[in-house]
Amino acid sequence: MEHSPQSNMKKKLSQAASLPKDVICHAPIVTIVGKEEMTLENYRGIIEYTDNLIRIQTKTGQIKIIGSTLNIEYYNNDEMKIIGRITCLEYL
Amino acid sequence: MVKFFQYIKGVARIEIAGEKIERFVNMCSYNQIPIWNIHPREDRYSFNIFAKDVKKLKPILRKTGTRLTIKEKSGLPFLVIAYRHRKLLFAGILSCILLIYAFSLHLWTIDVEGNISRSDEVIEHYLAELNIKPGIRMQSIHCQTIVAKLRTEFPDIVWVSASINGTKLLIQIKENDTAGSIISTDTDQEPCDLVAQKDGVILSMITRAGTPQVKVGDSVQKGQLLVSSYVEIKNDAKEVIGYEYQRADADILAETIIPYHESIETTYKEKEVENKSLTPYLIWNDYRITFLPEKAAKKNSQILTKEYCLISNMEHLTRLIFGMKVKENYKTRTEKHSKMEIQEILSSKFSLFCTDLSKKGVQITANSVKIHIDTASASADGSLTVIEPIAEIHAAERKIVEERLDESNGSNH
Repeated sequence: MEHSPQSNMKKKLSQAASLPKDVICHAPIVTIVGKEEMTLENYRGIIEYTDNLIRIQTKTGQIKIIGSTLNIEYYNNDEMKIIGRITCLEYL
Repeated sequence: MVKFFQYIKGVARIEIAGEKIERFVNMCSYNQIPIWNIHPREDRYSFNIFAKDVKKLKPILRKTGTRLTIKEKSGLPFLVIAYRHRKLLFAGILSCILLIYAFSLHLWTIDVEGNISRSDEVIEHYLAELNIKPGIRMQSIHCQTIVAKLRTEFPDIVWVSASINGTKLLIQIKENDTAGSIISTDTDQEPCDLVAQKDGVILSMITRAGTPQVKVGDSVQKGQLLVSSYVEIKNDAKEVIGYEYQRADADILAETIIPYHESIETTYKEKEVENKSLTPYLIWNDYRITFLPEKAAKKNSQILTKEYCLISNMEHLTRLIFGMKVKENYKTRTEKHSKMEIQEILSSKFSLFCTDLSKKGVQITANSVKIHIDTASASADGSLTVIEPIAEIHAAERKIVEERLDESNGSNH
């Protein structure tokens, strides 16, 4: 995925000023606990959701979670929590 | 805690179907409608939502072209709607809450801890005099005043703490353990002699205070002076010029003889129960409810009562007791003890007597107790030779040095 000049600028700024990237670049925060729990912040919305696949739109691109018996425990504007057997995480 | 709030707010399990289900979920998030436990199933999603948010879904459903089905409802708002016609139920719940609140404004239990010489009843009685008793309003209780008044009333209490724990008043006390002994020693300063409380032969004698009047091996009789309270004060000419009085103190052991007699009848009356009648009853504070009519007691009848305390935590106000009164009518017949039984009964009584003596610190050296069985009665007679403390405190008489006074008067002339 190609980065726009504006996003490159923000990246450099955050590096120079030691500012967190999630605040400046709106980079998604993915926290995975073991194989069966995952929390996600800084996203825009769900694109696709099935038992085995969840595709999430973020400002910097898409995140694809592959697994089995995937369930969203909660979903709000700030954070979502996914539980189930997670086998693969892809940035598109 | 989360589940409790969910129950209070009310939760609906919703299933949505349509083409743009993902958009529906995103719009819920955008509109700040919390959803959780989202499960995908073929072409539909099911999730939980708060009851109040269900109405907010209408425009979202219209925009996304999805259909909504409520699968399950749980929580208090739904319960209220389901039971809205049962006004008495809600009135009962409300009155129960109000009663609990009203009762919590009053004192129900007084707990006294740490008291040894002053019993709970004494302290509670004094508190009742101060109008601190179960049933009064909590607002009228001033712990500082209670503490101050208890300290004033009971000088032997060195530390008091009063605290309110829920509907309980907790009084913690520390008593002065040494005060009693100090007082007693002050009163025991009067000079006292030690005299023999019974006849015997002195076996050992350790004198700590006073002048011994007997020695080991002496035979003494009841009332005989063993240790005198005075000590003679003599001058250089060995003349007694005065007496110093003190409290005589000594450990004196003597061999004494204790007579023993115990008799029983050889016959006894055996009860044979003919019929029983049971009367259950309930006691609620001072009120007694009997479930069956009670029959008047006859001549040969006995009543056995068993009581079970069902509620007693409200010490002074509430107690609920369930009891059963069993009345047994019986016939009596005269039976005779066998020789073996008589021996066993008398032997066990003698053993008990010996155990009691041992507990008192008496050492048994010999016994000559024999059992005699007659037709009507049986007895155990004899005597025990024991070693026991023999001294007994006796108020002392003060002596006057008369001769010395006479002599001094004569020299003046």
